[in-house]
Amino acid sequence: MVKKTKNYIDGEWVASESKRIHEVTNPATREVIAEEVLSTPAEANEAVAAAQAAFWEWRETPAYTRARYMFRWKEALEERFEDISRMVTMENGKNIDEARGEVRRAIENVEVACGIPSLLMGYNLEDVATGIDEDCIRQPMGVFAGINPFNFPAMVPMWFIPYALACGNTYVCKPSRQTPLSMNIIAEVIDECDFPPGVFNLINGTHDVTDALLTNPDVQGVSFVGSTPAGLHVYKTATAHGKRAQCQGGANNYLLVMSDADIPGTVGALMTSCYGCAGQRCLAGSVILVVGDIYDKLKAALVEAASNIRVGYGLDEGVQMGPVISAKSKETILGFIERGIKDGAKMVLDGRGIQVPGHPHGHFIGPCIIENVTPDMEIVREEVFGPVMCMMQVDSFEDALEIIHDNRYGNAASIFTANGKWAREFKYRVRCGNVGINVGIAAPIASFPFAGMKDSFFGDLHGQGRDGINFFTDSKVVITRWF
Amino acid sequence: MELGTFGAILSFALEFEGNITAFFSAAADAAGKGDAAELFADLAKAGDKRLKAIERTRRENVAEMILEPISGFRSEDYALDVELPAGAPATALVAQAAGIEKTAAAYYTTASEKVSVPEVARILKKMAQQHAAQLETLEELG
Repeated sequence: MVKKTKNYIDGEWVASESKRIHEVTNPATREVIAEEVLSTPAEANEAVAAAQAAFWEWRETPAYTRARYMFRWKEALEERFEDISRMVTMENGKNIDEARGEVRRAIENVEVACGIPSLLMGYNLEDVATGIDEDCIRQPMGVFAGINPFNFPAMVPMWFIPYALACGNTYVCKPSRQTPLSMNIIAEVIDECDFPPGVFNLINGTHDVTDALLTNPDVQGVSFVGSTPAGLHVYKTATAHGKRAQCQGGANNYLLVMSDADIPGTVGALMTSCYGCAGQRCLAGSVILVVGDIYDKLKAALVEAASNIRVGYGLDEGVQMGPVISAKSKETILGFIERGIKDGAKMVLDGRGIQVPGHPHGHFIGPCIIENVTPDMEIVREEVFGPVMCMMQVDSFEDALEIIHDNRYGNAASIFTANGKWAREFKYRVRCGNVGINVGIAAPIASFPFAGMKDSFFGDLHGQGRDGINFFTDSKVVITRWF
Repeated sequence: MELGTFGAILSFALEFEGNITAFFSAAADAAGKGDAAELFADLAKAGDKRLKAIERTRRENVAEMILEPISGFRSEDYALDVELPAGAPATALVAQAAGIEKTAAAYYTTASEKVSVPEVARILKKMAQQHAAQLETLEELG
């Protein structure tokens, strides 16, 4: 019998009253691994009410005590590391190494949050006028909510939750409808750590639960990661209801390969960038812009490397690329490719018909490489979110920058070069938030913000690091005089 | 099996080290009393420690940014003879153990060269050195 999800509200696991069920399936096998009960808006509001009730006592808890909860949570997560990693693979499809990497990154955020006694410190100045002192303190605000994507079901919620809680706020987390189970295990771990009831809450659900969180007056702020249209909806709705919001949207990332790039190193990096997590990441490389006379040599090396990528079930050690998340996703990706070919693109490596022995039902697409593309083609401009690499020869560094800047997204971009001048120019001028120099996936570590610009991000403060602390607290300035 | 990923190398190391440790535990029992039995028991304890270190390394050092594929490393090249022959004298067990240690040292040496994460390479190199030192001790006993 398949397990039904429960919500975690006010320190208790509670079955939802809803009759709406979404089957959570393993994308490699299509096996139903759980039934997610899609909660009602009323239940979402109950979670917020529990978080609100828990806020003041949690807020009064000394920072050092909250830090100790973080240390305990970190150790408990290490104990369940492999369990969570395996669940990530089973519900998302990525290979087990990618899943472990994801969980490691998730835990790193808890590790940074352990430093909250220092991170939360304010600043002051004596005698701003004679006998008058001024302090700036940072204070938690109340209940925060998180709306999470399918592609990093363990990591992305943890860009936010540790900072929110460590700062003294309480939290309601809504995991992705497609991949809720990893976060449900993390909620079990939180439960084991004896956080006060209501400090952390988890509600499984879909759009109506999201809208309930966005419009609940007790929610002070919302974090979101997902597509740009959804991100814009969340941002507009949240801010219209007086909340602060940080919404990470879609992406279409360009990787610029200069003529002096180290080819073997670059090829390895491009494999991880374009095909890691089957291309389903907002930092994935999509379009390779090649400057100089290395195009044919690079193409040959990329085709050889991509042809050798082992596609299969992610729990099999040694598999390098798993399936995409769903049949719908596969259909969308194949649609992009077909339209690209109709527009004049040419398939160099065709992974569309891949058969994975032992897993005939999985949503597999093998690595694809496409050339003969132009900047205005849909497959170049839009987010494909699959294992598809487009290659384009460009005349110059300047032309490459123009192509990158002409795109509406600004999440990530990388340059591969041995020349410091090109690297510095790129770093200085490119209008993207996460920049790689000889790095294919420019993924900020936990103490740095996960940046993003243009249509890839709505808001002012990003997740992780100091941005996270600032998002989850408000400044209060206190001016003091004693008679 | 091709050990083409960070995880595959370390997961194989877990299985590999597990088999070695199990061999030494069984050999310690089979050898009864004496220097060989004591040494086998010590080697089993050392193996247990290495297992914990490998698991911790896999958990703490998987850096999502650096999961680039590895080539030219196959598990079949490091097959171990860990079957304990019934009634084998201590000297035969020592010789068998020496063969195991030689393979282990070779595995970890190659693994340390294949993995691009310096901290992990350092740990694997240390394991190679430990197995090489254990081989020397077994050869002196033999």
